[in-house]
Amino acid sequence: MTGRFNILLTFVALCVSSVLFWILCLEKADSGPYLDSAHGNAAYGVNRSSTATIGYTKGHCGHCHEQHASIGGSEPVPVTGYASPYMTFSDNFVSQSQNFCIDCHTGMGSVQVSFDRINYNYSYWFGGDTANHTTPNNIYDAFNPVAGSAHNLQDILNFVKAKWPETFRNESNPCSACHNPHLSQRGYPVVRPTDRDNVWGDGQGEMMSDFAFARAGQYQAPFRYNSTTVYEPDGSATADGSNLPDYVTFCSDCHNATNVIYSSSLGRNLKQIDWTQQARTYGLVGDYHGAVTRCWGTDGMVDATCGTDPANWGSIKEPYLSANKPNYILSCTDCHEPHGSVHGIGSTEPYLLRKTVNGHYNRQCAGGPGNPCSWEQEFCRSCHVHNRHCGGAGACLNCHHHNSYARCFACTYCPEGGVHGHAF
Amino acid sequence: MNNEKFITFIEFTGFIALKKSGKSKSSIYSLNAFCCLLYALCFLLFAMPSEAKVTGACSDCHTMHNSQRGQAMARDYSSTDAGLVEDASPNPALLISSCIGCHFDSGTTTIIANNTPVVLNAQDPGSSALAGGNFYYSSAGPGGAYDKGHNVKNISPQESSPMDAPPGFKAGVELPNGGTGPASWASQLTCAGTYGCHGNRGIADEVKSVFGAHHQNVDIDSSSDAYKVYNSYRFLYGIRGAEDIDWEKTASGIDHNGYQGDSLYGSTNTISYLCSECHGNYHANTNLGGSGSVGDSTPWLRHPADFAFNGVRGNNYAGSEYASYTTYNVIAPVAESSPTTSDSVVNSGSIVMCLSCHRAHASPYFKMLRWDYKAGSLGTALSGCMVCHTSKN
Repeated sequence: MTGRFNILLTFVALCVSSVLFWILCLEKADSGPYLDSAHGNAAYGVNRSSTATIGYTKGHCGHCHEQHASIGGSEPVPVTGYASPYMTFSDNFVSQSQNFCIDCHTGMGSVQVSFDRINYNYSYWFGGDTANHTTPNNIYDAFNPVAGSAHNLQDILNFVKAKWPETFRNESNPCSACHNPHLSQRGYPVVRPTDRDNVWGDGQGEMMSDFAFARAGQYQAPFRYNSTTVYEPDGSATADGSNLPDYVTFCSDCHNATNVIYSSSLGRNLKQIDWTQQARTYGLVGDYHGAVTRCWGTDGMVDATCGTDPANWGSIKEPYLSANKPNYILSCTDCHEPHGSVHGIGSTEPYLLRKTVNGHYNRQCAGGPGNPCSWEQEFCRSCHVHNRHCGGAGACLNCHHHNSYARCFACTYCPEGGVHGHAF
Repeated sequence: MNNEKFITFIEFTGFIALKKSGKSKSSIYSLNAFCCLLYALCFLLFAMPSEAKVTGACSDCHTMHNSQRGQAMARDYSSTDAGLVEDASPNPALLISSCIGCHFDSGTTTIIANNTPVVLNAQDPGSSALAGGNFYYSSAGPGGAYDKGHNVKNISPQESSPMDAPPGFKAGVELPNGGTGPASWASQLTCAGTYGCHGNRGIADEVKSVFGAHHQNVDIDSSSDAYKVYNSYRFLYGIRGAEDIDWEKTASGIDHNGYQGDSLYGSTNTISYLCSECHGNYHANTNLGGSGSVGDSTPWLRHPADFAFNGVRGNNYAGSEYASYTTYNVIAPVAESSPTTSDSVVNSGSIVMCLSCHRAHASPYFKMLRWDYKAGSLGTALSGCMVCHTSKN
C-alpha cells in the first residue's frame, strides 16, 4: 500500500511539475520588459508600413531596426541611402522637426501603419478634456506648434550629453532623455535619465503620494475636465496621488536647484526649481506649489503660522478648498504639458502651460464687463480666487514663476522667511 | 585496413618467430597479446584522422568512362525533377556527380553512405538538417522559397535584380591566404570556386578549387592552420574552426560546431570573414566594409559581426544585457577566439558572428534565419534576438 502510495505521489508530483513548467515557459515566451512595453505590444506596438508588408508582426524589432540597412537587396521605406546609428531606419535626430521617433509619431506621412491610440496631449488623456484638445493629435505637432511652446529637443540633447555622457551621445535621440523605447509603457511612459533600465512611476515609492509624504506635504489631484467628483489622471475618485507617477522626481533630474539649462527658445538659462525645499527663505530656491508651506489658509484668510492679518488675498478653489490640506505639493503635470502646448489666446507664454487645468478649459479669458483679464490670469484662476494684489494687475507670470521671490507680501506676512519670501 | 587479417598476420609472424626460437606456447600467447596491444595503439594513432577522408570504393564517386553496359554512370541533380538524373556528359575529375549530386538525398536522411553530409534533401529534413541548414528550403522544389537560402546554381534559378548579387557585395576584397575576390558579381552562386563559398575562391573552377580536399580531409579543430583546403574548416579555404563530428545533426549546448571569431573584427580566418568575402559591407574589417560601413560600438550602423561582448557599452559587459547570456544556445550561437565543439560557457570573450542569426545554406525561415523571424507570435519572432538581447526578454 505504501509502495503504491509513493508511486501515486510521484506521478502527481511529476504532473504538477510539468504543468508548472509549461506555464512558466509559456509566460517567459510571451512577456518580458520589451514585450510589456508599448512599442513591443503584440496588439498595438510598432508596425512600420514597409516591414509590415514583408510580414513582420506588430512589435517586431525589424520595424525600427535594420540589421543590414537592406532587406531583399534594397532598403525598406523610408529610404535614406545609408545605414544609420543604432541601426534605426533613419537618423535618430536631425532637428525639432526631423527625428526618427517622429517618422512614426506624426500626422500625415507617418510610416506607422496605424495608431491604436492617438497621441493627444496630457490635457486630453489625463485631464479628461476630450472636447477642446483634439489637436495636437500627434507628437510632431505637439513639439512643433504653430503658435505655442515646446521642449526644445536640441537643448535637451545638449544638456543630457553634457550631464550624462556615459549614456547619451551625439547620435542619441533627445526623446530618449525621458523615454526608453524598449521599456516605456502607456501607463508608465517615462524612464529617468539616471536609471535607463526601469520605467518610473510603476512601483512603491515612485508615486506623487510618496513624494509629498516624504516632504511633509500632501498631493491633491485636480479635477478631471467638467467634473467636480472625479480626478486626474484616470477619472477615478482617487485623489491622493497614489495613482500618479512622481513626475516631480522625474522632471527634477533635469529641472532642479543646481542644473544650469540653457534655453535657445528663451535665449537664457531656465529658472532653477527646487520642489523639495521646505524653508521659506529668501534666496533659497523653493516654491509654494512645492514643499514650501503656504502662508495662509485655503480661504485666503490668516493662518496661525504666519501671524494675523485681516486681509483676504483670495481663496483657492475646489477641490483644494474643501480638502484643506496643510501643505499642497503639486505635480509638474498639474500645470505643464510634457511635450508642448498651444498658446492661450492673447498669450505668448512659452512655458508649456496646459490649457485645461483643474477641470477648467482656460485657453482664453472669459472676458465681458467687469472681467478684464489675460490668459495668464485665467490660467491661475483655474485654482485661485484673486481678491487682492499688492502690485499692478499685470501679467501674472512676470512675478509669479519658479524661483521668484517678490517683496510685497513676504515682508509682513511671512516673517519666518525674513524680509523676502516667495511669490510662487 | 583489414583488421582481422592483420591480427592473423601478426600472430602468424609471431608464431613463426617463436617456433624457430623454440619458445613455449605460453610465450607465443604473450607475444600475441603484445601484438594485439601494438595493433590497438596503431589503430588509435592512425585510424581516427582517417575517418574524415572519403572512404569506400573508388567507384562510389568516380567513373572511368562514364559508361557501363552502355549506360551513363554520371548522375546530376535536376531541379526540375527534384532528384538525380542520368547525365551523358562526363564530369570533371571523373566524378559521378557534382557537389549537389553527391550531397543529395531523395528522402530525409542527412548523413548518407560513406559518412557523406547531405545539404539538399528532396523532402523536408526537419530536425535532421545539418548545421548549415538544407537547400530544400530554397530549392526550386515544392518546399522552396528564394528568401530562405542561398540560391545556388542548379538547385534553384537565379533570382532577379537586385538579388542576383550578394547584398552588401564589395568588389575585390582580400581573401584569406592571399588573392582577391571577384571584381564584380557576374555569375550565379556556386558551391565552390570564385563565385562560391567552398574551396579556394582564387580558382574559378568549382572542382579544381577543391582538388584533393576530399581525399586528404582531416577532422580539424581550431589549431589547424587552414593553409590548405583540406585542413580548413568545412573546406572553406583559410577559415579556422572546430568541426562537429556529425555536422550538428545532433546539437546541444555541449555538442556543436566551434566557430572561429575575432573579438574586434581584425582577422581573416573567421567564419564571419568568410560570409563577408561576398557580403563585404556587413563586416567592419578594414579589408571589407570597414567601420565606415558597419560603424563601431559607439555606435553601430549595422549589426556587428566578429565583435566580442567585452566591448559592449563602453567595455561595461557586466552591466550590459549580454551578461545574462551565459550558456551556449544553438538557436543563437556564438564564436570564440579558440573554439571547441563542446564550449558551453558564454562570457565576455564570446563573439557575435553572422551565424549567430543565419544558417549558411538555407533554413525554414525568412532570410535564412535560425528562428521564425516572421512568426505571427511576437515572442517567437524575436526568440533568437532575445538570446543575446536579454533585456528585451
